[in-house]
Amino acid sequence: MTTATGGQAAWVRVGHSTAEDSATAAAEATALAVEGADAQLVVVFVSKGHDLDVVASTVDEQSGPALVVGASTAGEVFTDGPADASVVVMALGGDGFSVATGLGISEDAQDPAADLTNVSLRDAAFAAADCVNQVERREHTVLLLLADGLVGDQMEVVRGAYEQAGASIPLVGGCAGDDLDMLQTFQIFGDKVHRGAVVAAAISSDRPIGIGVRHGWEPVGESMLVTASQGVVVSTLDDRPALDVYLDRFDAPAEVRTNLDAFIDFAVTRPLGIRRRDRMEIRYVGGADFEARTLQCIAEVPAGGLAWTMTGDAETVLGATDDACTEAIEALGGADPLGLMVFDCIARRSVLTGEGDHDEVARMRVHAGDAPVAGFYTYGEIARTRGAGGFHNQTLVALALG
Amino acid sequence: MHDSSWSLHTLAEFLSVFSPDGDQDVLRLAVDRAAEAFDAEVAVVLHEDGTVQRSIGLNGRDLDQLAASQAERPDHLRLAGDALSLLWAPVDEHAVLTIGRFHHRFDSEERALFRAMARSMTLSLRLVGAVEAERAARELSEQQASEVARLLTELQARTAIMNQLERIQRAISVRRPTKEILDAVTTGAMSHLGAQAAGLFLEDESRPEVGILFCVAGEGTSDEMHHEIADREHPARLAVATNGVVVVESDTPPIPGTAGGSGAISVLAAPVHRNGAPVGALVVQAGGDGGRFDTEAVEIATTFADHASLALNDASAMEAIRLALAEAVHQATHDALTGLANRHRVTQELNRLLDASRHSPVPHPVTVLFVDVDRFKQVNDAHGHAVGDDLLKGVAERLRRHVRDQDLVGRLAGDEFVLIVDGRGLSEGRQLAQRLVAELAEPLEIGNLAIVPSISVGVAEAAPTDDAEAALSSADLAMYRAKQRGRGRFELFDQALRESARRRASAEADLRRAIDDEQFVVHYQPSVRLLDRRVVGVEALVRWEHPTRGMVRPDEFIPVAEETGVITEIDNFVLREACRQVAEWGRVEPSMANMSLSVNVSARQFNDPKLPGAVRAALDASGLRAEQLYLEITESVMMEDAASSPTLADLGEMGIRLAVDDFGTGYSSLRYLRQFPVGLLKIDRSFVDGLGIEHEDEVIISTVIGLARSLGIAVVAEGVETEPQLKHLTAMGCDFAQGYLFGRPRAAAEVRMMVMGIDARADIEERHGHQGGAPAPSADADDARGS
Repeated sequence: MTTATGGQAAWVRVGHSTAEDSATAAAEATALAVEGADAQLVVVFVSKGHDLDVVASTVDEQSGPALVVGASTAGEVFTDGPADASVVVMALGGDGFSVATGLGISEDAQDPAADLTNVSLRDAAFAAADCVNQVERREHTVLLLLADGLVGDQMEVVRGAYEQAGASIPLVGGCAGDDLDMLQTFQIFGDKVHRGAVVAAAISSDRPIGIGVRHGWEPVGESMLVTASQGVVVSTLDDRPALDVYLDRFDAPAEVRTNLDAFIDFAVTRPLGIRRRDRMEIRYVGGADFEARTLQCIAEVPAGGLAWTMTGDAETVLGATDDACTEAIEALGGADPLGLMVFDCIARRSVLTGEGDHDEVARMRVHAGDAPVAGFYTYGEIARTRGAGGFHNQTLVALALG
Repeated sequence: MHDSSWSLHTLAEFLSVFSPDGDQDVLRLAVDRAAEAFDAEVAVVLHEDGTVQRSIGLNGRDLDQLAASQAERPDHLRLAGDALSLLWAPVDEHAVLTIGRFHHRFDSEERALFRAMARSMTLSLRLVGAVEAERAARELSEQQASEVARLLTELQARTAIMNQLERIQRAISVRRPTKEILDAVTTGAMSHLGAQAAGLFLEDESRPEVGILFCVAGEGTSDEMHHEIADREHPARLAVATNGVVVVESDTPPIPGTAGGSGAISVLAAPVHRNGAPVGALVVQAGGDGGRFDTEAVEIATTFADHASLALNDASAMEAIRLALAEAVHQATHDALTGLANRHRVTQELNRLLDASRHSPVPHPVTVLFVDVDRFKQVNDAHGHAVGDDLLKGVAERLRRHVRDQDLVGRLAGDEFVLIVDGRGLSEGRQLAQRLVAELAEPLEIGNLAIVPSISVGVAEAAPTDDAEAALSSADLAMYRAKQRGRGRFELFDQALRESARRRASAEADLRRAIDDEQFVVHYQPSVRLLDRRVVGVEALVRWEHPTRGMVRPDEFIPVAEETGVITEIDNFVLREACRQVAEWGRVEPSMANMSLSVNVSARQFNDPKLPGAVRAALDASGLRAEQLYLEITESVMMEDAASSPTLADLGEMGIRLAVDDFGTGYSSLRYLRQFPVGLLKIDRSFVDGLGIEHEDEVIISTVIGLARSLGIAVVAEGVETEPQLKHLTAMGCDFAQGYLFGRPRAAAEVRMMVMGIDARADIEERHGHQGGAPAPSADADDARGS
């Protein structure tokens, strides 16, 4: 557990580097973000194409006393636009902020060869979230969570963190990516790189903090009953093999029906929606078992509920971007944001073909005004402002620091 | 407001995460999932001693404050300046689950869902507990095998309950018809509680004074029943009134149609809710020896009731139920053809009025008019059922037009209608009847036909002690007298009719006792082949050996038996006994092996669809061959009933032939003789009496014999009393004869001796010798309606 306090006007800055050399990129991005000041917190979003150990140690070294957390990505976002194979660093410091960070690692991850597919990160999240008990509490506090995006049921991350943090602390964050290889993601804590881990930063501020959440997907066709599922694996919909129902609903081409890579590409923009009390929650379909005819989702799809197939296009996705940013910034109660942190599902980027992803970041910039923007393309998004749940898929979560 | 079936799916999802394998942290699951389902920030499981077993959302002092409020279970609490809305529900005997939400209060649907979740979870927790205990027990020694077995049984039972609940949720999820879902609830509750029956009662929104049994499961129940429950002490109504579970011991089964048991029945009623308000109850009825419902049974029943509540929370489901109820009530209480109240509704309403009248401080007459359409059958036969139906509709319409709004017009059956006039006595009833008879007789245009309806009306003012059945029966008797007195008129029920009704009731009781005490015996009238004068057949005739009155003649009891319906039982007795006897003769005496048997069949029995079955049973039981048996009907029955008889085809297939009694007295159609399996014509004794005296009778007999011969039908002359008659008949080619000349009807043993003792001629000689040829008074078949 680490804590830090600052000594000047609150500030947030973002640095970005596309340098191929990992040390150079990390140093450049950190320098741009920190600008020689004493940052309290540095958050790194980095492509796994970089040498992550080098990036972590470089950022940690270059950011002085700041606490460092970070995650590998499926693409980075910063003020000037979307990026790939780069390093983005957001730093914050000055008076009015208090920060503490925490790390939780799944026991199973101690073995580098262990298969973490079915591991629960709940306890890891619970441990990481303990930083909320360490941070010097100011009027507004948020818990930033960065978790392994390919381990177990991601909802467990929210549950573990929530159990620790309680109702008074909003949760926000995203799940680390791996440039869509879907093999392994990484989390950075200090100068170390982990997998199967949750890193957290409790940010407490005198100024308001705003969170916005939108997905921009619309249901298509009739609802389906989830007739059999086990955690994230959906076996049957309306008593038919889930994969067949899914493929038929979307009239999937032949290749998608036989080739897993083609299926994953296809499914990225065709999530499932499951009904919640007053909203639709999205479930990213991340894989399929062609033998068992099942669908593999990123978060639990409980049996007994109703599900819909969902689609979106550039217009709905960009509309959601505007709405999420507006919601986050309006929550500041009129104050200008110091910085905007975004956790944007990689699936949304897939819908935004051509210059669409640039268009999206340009819109974020418009909402942020003079404030810098930093974030990454995620494998799952976290935002809990009410209730106990707060894990999202194919969603944009925006955190405005006032 | 949520989507209509949100709560159902949420419950299904909630329960789907609990698995019985015992590896789960059930409390953790419970608090996580309950909070997520309701977007609640807080979920806590508290032990009754105040300790927190599991919690999320609150820490430190806030959590302590919530725990401290457990005893009061407040619906909100102020924590850290915010109002936290709370829901509470027990999850087992010693723990309570509470969820809390800032900013948004819980609505009634959420409260219902939460209650259902908690109950279902309790079952899950027990299930998990049972699994763990079973595992632990498995580790123990052999001596504890019985404990293992007990736990396994418990485990299986609980798993079955959870599966059933899941099926119900599935049914709701896939939007199965509401009735089907509620049926699943009642069936589930019944089977898992080992109950005799279970039913779901709903309050009738339009008539708050009654509850309606909407669906029901159990032996003796019928899905068609939509029973109305007016009794305020009915367990279902108590459960609604108290909004709580009611467990009572009842002497009468609360679910109509069920048998109950020998002793008091244990009954459990759990309320079902809509939008938080009790709107009905799930009633579970133990068998007579089913014992009392315990705490666990209450829990299970309540869980099933909660599932019914969830289904009812769906607005469309409620609408569907409303429609189904209205339709069911209408169908159950109205006649489909005329739209008038049916017998059930008439009886119910009449009972209600009579009951009100009894409890009224001032005399309050209730008058019943029993209306029967005259010669309806002929209209039906002549013009077809469609015209008949239109006639009934026309009559219904006219009846309705002539009564006040508050009077009830009903159709009891066929062409029988009834009017119930409340607050009016016999004199007003008479005026109304007069008006009806006159005004109904206006021609009614049906298609191209102009039919003039005629009605016979019986008017009765209900006696103070009458129930509906008695009042209707009085009016019916009066109507019957109107028929007897020429139709197209009305009669009032008076003291004489009452007296005759009383006598009839008493006679009926006597007859039934006679059946029970085996006072009826069968006598046999021999039938002789004229060719060789040998006894070749018998006609079975019933006799009543009354213990005090001695032998009662058939004409003294058969009319009453026919009127009261006891005739069917007497008929069946004669059929069975006669078949048995004749078959036995055949077995013990080769000369009687081909003896034929005639058994009289009344019009009522002839039209009873059960007749072929009864005949088959009598033949099977006795071993008598079908070709030996003749069913004897009168000519008028053949003419009026045979064409429409539901039994004739079956009897024909069995090889049973008809004997036509009293032939020649009516107007037989040759077509009928050819069409039906007639094997025997019996020439009425009135023609035989005229032989040698009236030339006309001779011509008739001769014609009948010629006709029969041309159709291949045998002929029996009845009432043969003298040798000259016998000679005439022989000369005319008659096949058989029966009558006093060959012996009076006699008991079975005597018949056998008569057949064995040489032959009929001996009997004739003997009789002539004793009586000098003078005919004795007839005592044969025509006094002896067999049955």
